[in-house]
Amino acid sequence: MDDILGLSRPKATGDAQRIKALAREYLRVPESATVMVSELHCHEDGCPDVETVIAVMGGGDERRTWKIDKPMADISPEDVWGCIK
Amino acid sequence: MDSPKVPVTLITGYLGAGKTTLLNRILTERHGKKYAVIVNEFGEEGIDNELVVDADEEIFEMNNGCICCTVRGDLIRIISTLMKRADEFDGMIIETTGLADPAPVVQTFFVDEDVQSKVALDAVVTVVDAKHFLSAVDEEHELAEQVAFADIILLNKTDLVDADTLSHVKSKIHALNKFAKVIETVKSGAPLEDVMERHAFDLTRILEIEPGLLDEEDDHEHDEDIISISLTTDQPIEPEKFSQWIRGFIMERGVDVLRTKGILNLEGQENRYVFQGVHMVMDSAWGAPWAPGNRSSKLVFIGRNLDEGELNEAFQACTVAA
Repeated sequence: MDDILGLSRPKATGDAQRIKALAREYLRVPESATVMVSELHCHEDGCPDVETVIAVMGGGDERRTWKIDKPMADISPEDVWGCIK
Repeated sequence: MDSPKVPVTLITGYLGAGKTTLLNRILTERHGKKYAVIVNEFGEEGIDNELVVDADEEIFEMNNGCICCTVRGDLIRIISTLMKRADEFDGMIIETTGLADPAPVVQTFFVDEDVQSKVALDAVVTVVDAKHFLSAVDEEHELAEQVAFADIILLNKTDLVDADTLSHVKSKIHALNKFAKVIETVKSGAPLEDVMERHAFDLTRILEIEPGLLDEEDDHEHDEDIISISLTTDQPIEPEKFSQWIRGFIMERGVDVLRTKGILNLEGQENRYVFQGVHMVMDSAWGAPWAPGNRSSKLVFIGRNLDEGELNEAFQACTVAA
């Protein structure tokens, strides 16, 4: 049955895994580090309606984060490369 | 078929309330289960377990300090690492520091797909020290938040207070959080089945919101910073009206709304519509079909600066009768 009120969380589509793999490859993230990818829908003043946060945690470095003002589904390899290079 | 998710129990509570005593009871009782334990600090009381991981309470503000976009980076890292050896344990228990804000911990379980796919927050268990609660709760912001976020509250050290004080403590807890099941204990001695595997965040198991909760006289004072509000209607809910209202309300007031839970009788639907939220993070599911006769919609908010009259008016305006 459909969520007719629109309150469900988006189902996992594989986009987070795809973006994590790209980030790992481009940044040469060690196995021991954790990569997190999350799509935010923040309604605070000054925040974009949708943005995707990529964070690399551990692996010997401080946490590093990048933001792309797009939903995860629309993010291309060029977007990931463009923000982290 | 997906593997079952590893259940995670979150134990919160103020300094000296009895969190580690509860943790050790869980770990040492004969239940045949192994737990991975994540703690923020090693206190004076040792932890009787093979797999204990030290967390460093790393708050990760993904978006300029907005609480709705704040998680615990250390937990994401630790859970990801622990899940590589998931065959070694049946569940995880996180014991926070007395000063920890529970919101980032709870939100950690809803923002990362990997975490969501492997583990499931089972319940927030808050241990309250009956002796010191009243003198501390108005001063200590975290203590009220820990109670507000709880699914289960262990009202501990009840042997150290008289009946009158205990009654005041219970009233105060009730004002902050009417959702939670309150268990009175001495030395954190709650039956484990009341604390573990509660599935409090599992939408498919929510059939009722605490039976009796909504029938009680609303006798709490309304000058609290954090309050809990329960609303009900026997009229069917008009889906579009409700969707527009609740989404707008959460968008505007999500920072103030700590937890939301609802069971709705949507017009034209045979099944319950169940939803819950932590700040702005919402989730919903279709529940079991309604039994003939009783189709009462229920909605509960816990949060700051909420106006019960205003919320009730807005809720009642979403019914088909409005």
